[in-house]
Amino acid sequence: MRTRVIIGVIVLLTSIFSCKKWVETKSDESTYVVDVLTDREGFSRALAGIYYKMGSATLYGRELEFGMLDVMVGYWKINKQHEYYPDYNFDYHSLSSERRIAGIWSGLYRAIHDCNVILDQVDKIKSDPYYDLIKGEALGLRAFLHLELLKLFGPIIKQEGLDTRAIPYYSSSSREVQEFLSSRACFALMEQDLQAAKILLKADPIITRGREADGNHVGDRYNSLIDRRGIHLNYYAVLALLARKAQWEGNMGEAAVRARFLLDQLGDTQAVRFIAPSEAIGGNIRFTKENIFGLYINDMDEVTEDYFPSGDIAPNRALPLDFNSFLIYLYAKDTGTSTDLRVSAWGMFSVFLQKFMAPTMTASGYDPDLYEAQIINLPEIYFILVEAFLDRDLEKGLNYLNTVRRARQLPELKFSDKWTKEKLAENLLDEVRREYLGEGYLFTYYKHLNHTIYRSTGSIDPDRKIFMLPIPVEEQQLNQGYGIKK
Amino acid sequence: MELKKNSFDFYLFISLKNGLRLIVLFFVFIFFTDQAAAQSITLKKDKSPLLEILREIQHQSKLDLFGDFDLLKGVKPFSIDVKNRDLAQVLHELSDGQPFSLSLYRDAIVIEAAKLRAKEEKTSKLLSGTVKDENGFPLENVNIRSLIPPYRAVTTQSDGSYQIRVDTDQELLFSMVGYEPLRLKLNGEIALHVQLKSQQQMMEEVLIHRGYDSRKPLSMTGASRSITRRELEQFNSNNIFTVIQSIDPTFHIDQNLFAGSNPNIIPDVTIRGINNVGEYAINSPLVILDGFEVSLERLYDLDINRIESITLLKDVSSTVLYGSRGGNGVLVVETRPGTAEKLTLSYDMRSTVTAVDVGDYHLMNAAEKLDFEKLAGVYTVTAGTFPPAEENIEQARLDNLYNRRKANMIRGVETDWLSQPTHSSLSLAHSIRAEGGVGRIRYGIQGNYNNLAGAMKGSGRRRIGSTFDLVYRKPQKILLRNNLTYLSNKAYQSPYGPFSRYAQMNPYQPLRNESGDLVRQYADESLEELQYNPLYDAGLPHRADEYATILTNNFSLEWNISPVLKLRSTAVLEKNTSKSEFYLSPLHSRFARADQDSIGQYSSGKGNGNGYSANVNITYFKTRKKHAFSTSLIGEVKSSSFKQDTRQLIGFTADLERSSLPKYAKSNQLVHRDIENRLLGVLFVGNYTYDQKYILDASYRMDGSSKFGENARYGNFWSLGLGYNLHQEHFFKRDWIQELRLFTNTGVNGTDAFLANMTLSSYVLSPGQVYYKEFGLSYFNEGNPDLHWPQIHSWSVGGTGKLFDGRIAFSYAYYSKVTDRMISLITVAPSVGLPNDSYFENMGKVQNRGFEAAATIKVMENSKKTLSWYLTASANRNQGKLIEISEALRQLNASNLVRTNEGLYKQTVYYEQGKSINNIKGVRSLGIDPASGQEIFQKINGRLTNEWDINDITVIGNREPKLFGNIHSAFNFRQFSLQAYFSYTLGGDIYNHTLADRVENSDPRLNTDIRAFYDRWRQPGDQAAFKDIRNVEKTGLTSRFVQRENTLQLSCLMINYDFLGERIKKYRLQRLRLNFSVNGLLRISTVKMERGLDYPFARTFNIGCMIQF
Repeated sequence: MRTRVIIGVIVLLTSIFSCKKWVETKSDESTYVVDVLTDREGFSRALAGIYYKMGSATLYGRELEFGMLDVMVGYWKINKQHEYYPDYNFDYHSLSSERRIAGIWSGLYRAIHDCNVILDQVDKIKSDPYYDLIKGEALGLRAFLHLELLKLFGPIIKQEGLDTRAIPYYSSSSREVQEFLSSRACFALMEQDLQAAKILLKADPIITRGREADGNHVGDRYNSLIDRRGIHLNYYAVLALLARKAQWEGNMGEAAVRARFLLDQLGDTQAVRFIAPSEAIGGNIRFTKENIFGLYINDMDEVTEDYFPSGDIAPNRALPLDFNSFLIYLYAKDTGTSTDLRVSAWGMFSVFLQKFMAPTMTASGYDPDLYEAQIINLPEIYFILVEAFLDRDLEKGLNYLNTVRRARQLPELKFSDKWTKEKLAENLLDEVRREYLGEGYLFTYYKHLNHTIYRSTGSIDPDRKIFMLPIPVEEQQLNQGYGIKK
Repeated sequence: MELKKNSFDFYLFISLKNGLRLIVLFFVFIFFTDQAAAQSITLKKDKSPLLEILREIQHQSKLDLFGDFDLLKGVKPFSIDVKNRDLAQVLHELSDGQPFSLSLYRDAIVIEAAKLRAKEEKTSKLLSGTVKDENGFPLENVNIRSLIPPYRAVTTQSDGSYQIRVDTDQELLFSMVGYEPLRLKLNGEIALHVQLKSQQQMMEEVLIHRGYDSRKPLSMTGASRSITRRELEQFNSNNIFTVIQSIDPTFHIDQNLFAGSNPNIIPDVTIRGINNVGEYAINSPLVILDGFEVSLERLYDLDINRIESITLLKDVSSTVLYGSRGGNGVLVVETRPGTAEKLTLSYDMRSTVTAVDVGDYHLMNAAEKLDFEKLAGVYTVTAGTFPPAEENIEQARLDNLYNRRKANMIRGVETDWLSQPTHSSLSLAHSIRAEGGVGRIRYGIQGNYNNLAGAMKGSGRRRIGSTFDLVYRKPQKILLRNNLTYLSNKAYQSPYGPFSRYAQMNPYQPLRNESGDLVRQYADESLEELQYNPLYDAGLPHRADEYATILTNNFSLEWNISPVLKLRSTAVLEKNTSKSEFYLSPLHSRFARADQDSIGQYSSGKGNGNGYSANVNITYFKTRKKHAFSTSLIGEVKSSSFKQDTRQLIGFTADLERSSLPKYAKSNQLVHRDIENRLLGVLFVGNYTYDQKYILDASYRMDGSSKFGENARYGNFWSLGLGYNLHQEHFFKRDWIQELRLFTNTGVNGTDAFLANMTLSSYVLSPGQVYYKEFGLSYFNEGNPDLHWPQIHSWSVGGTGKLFDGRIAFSYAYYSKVTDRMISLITVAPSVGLPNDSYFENMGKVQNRGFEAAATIKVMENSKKTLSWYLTASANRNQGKLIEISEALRQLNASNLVRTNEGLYKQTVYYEQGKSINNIKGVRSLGIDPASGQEIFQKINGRLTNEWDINDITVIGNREPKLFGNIHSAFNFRQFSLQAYFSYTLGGDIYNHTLADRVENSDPRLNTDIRAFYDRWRQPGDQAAFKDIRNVEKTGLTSRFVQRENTLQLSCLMINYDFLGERIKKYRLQRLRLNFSVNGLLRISTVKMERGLDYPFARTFNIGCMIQF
């Protein structure tokens, strides 16, 4: 009897403990990070996921391009019924604005967290030939995203200097909340990330093949990391960001050196270049060839169709160009002329800007050039140089401006003694205003300069309350470090 | 000669005639299966009385000794010296030459007069028959012996049959371990069929089924409540939850303000408070149906007629058996197996009338509403909103509007919107059951159909079930049971949409236009909520159905390996499917303002699940003198998987015939889910009882679950319990005390309320998510690999008693539980960048303390016991509070300030150390200033202000009642019984949302509670409870809307009548029972608040009858 009991107990126990493996099953409801980030494909899909998310309407699909940011600088006519009306009035505490701003804040920080998840795991594939590319892109993106947040939510550096509270900087995927740092501290961390990315990306395929080429060989397993580098945070994007960062830091000397270095590199490779007028008219209307870094937006037509409608118009959404009573003076008068390539290429005499009209499929399939949102373009580098030479050498500055004007089919401006810093600065600002229509660039540029915002309904004086988007309430309440100034 | 008596199936008894040593033979057939060893005796005695020697032999051989002891009296003392001698031989030697014979029967030594044997051969005859248990199962090895000389004994065979030679006036004793002995006097019968009652049945004692084992209530060391079929039958109700709550109020059903009496919403249920707080916390008890874990929904749909018993396990000494899953309490449900041998048919029919109860609504009539609108300024142009030139035009338009509506009202338009989507409905439930058996086999077949119509038109729940039970039983040896069950239910939602839509429509809005057609759109309404006639929407093609089917096979085995060893095992296989379909017509008013290409919605889902579980349970028990000891070792595995595909189509212009799929849709989404969970557990249970007085319980369980991260895959759970039956103590014995028992227990168990993705970070890959040519993985969920099982430490002390011959019975239990490592969804600052800004963390401690007290008094009973009246009252209290709050949890307060689309904050949990977890938050208010009609708030720092400030939010109320319970009155007169269950709650706070959302924050254009018209401030000096009638600003969370709630409810009133005996026998009926019951007949509350917002509450009237053939 006793032996029977003992045998029974032993059988029972062994059968249960042999089930250890059995109990470690996983639901395949989700794709678990530990399973995905094990090879190149997993990492490149995770990266693609970040870019995809950045292209959503709450970020570069709309709000940070033609949406909220460009509403505020007055490119579009906004009436009382319009869903952007509170934003147009800088009423950041209205429910809709508040949600939009919270969406931008958390959207950018989520992308940062996603980069950090990749960076925390990437050393698992150290031996992979694409390790450098993956890590470099993720580091560069992390710096880019932080700079974007600083530009939008940080202080007016021109007015307050570098030592007031800016934003939190996240250098790891830990769930630890980071406190708010000063702009200076943020720039230092950005610099670190960008310098590391610069080294990692030194063999970026964009250098040899250009921004649009596909480096995949027929028959190989598709590798998105070497296809169309212009829509990845590539080597040139890192160089541009280094210049942009120095520009925002107020270190214009360094900015000029970095911008010049980038232009020299591009001059050799022509990987990114000015578009030829013939390419632009009726073809590459978004000047994609000039994008040092662009975001590919697969559902571009859906993102834009309500706002630049070709058919039914929803009056509370559509964004008609504020042309006849406002932009016409910018493009066709004063510093502009109607020969401007942009006026014709972007269809500026119609109610809605043609630049963003939903791309239609052609017989040869769709044209990928029409699906890119511009994040950093070539003229910006010239504009940085113009700005840098304002205090040093007006003629050199004007030369750089003229390079852009030439590319846009505007007459060159002749240098003379009459040129003052103010006049060049005004010409520069007008050029920037003309260049970035619908690209969400101008608002933070005004902020960088701490400059009046020109609008058809009256100019808006620079003000911290306008230029510093409010930190979302959730962040203020949940981040213990918010009260700390550094 | 060695006599191996055990090796023969047939045994021949030989009796020797004294002196002649002649063998007188007679044959008795006895069937043996026992395996006791051959007996041998070693004995040395000098000149001892024969009885003493026999007693010694009896002791050595452990045999019974019986017969005519008088025969031994005259016998001289004996000397004996034997070593390892065969017993039969010894007995033979002892009786040699004596006036008596000693013979061996199976387990007895029989003393009888030697001479009688030969004589009786002639006068006696052979009696035969069968012995069965109360369920008709043949009993094997029953001892049958004669009590009058000549003594004789036989045992029954495997089919329960026996044969014994008896005299005509013999008296027989039938006995067997575990059964009540039966004495019968013969009267010349030659066949006698006997039924033995098991001792449990005799004691009429309800066993506490704990799933893995069953216990007598007096051997428990914790609180529990068993509900028998007899109790359930009396309720005659469709809703099993309210039945359980009526019987034991610690089973708490959350009153769902929104869902009302919607038969398709399964209410939230808790036992002894809320152990886990937060959005994903699961506090519902574990449901074990025939040993298998099932969802609460399954219990909800279970046909009450199938239930044999329901046991609520509350204390850790029992719930620890379920380890990681038992922390919220356990409901153990056992279904009826087939038991009767004779073919029995029973039919149960219940008709239910559901009558809508909108007594909580007090809406304005057309005249009041128009006056209210006028006062609130609906018909006055607000200065500044229009250019001065247009102001007059607008005012004229508004005047016109008012006059037109007034004319309508005078003409008699007074639409009763609330009655439009509701109806009183009759539904029928049928349940039929057949059971019977042959030999050791019993079967039961049952089928039920119940189509329960809801209070809203077109809504209801249809349940169909059938079950087939097969039982093989060899009493005291083996029990095999197989149960095959098929269940299906269909939940269909009303096309009328949420009830709240009707409560906002204005009484002056006519239903139909002049030509008698339903109005689709009210042209002069500017507010979207009022513009469309919900009745028009209700008439459009519609579908909102869910189907589910479940096929389950339960197999269980009980095998008594030996008197001390028992093996039990269950194996369950389950397959379930679910299907859902939802269709919203493109013509529905919801799409009135949508783009033409995104109107119309269709979605369908299909799910498939499989599950199995098995356990093996070995129990060893031993009783020695006053010590009783039992121990069980149980191993368990459980696995379930579920696959689901859902498809959603949005955007098709043409309305469709039902169930035909649209060909084209703008958005076509497919989602696939695949979930797999596994659990394994090892359980050890030990129980020791001394002299039926002291009870010690110890249990330990280890669980491993696939849901957990690698860092915390296994959890350990334990409990210790002590019981003390005071009434068994000699020094305590009193005539008037029948039972007095104390118990205490402590231990740790857990709750299983979490998902795998709480521990694992994950990406999702959806088809549309492509970046250029690459699939983009989107970071979906932040996992926390360090997440641990939440632990619930609890202890409890209590007692039960029965006094004065059962005139008074009472029970009391006090408990304290602390949930440690509670799993909370923690919200972090958005800059951390987590999906949804949240992840799961073990944090915070919640404590629940409370007591449960109940007493039953027999108020009256007549001597014949045909009339009786019992009163039972129970009082309970539970206070849950946060005793340790982490910083992160405190921060949750900020993120919990969720704003609605109107910019108002919702009433959500507010975490504050030492405060109830069932609190109400808001800003302290001193009321409405009679001078200005504005509200006066008190800031945290004590200052008074007119401004509502989010930073002044604090805890302003506790929803947990001070006391709650039931009062139950049961009156029985012969076969008639009248019972009433009242339930009460005292002293809880409630945030009166009607005051907040309807009296103050409602748009004056919507219809609302009459208090918005009568009780709001109008002019300086008004002492009003509510702010200025013209003020359209939203009121934030304020203590002004917190009210103390006391309620009394007649939750159930029932009348039963049983027809018995001859009156129904002539119709060949065994039983006929009539029931009438009403649920929710009466409710008195100190708070006037609209209840049943999305679906109204309803009363149900049930008439039922049960017939058994």
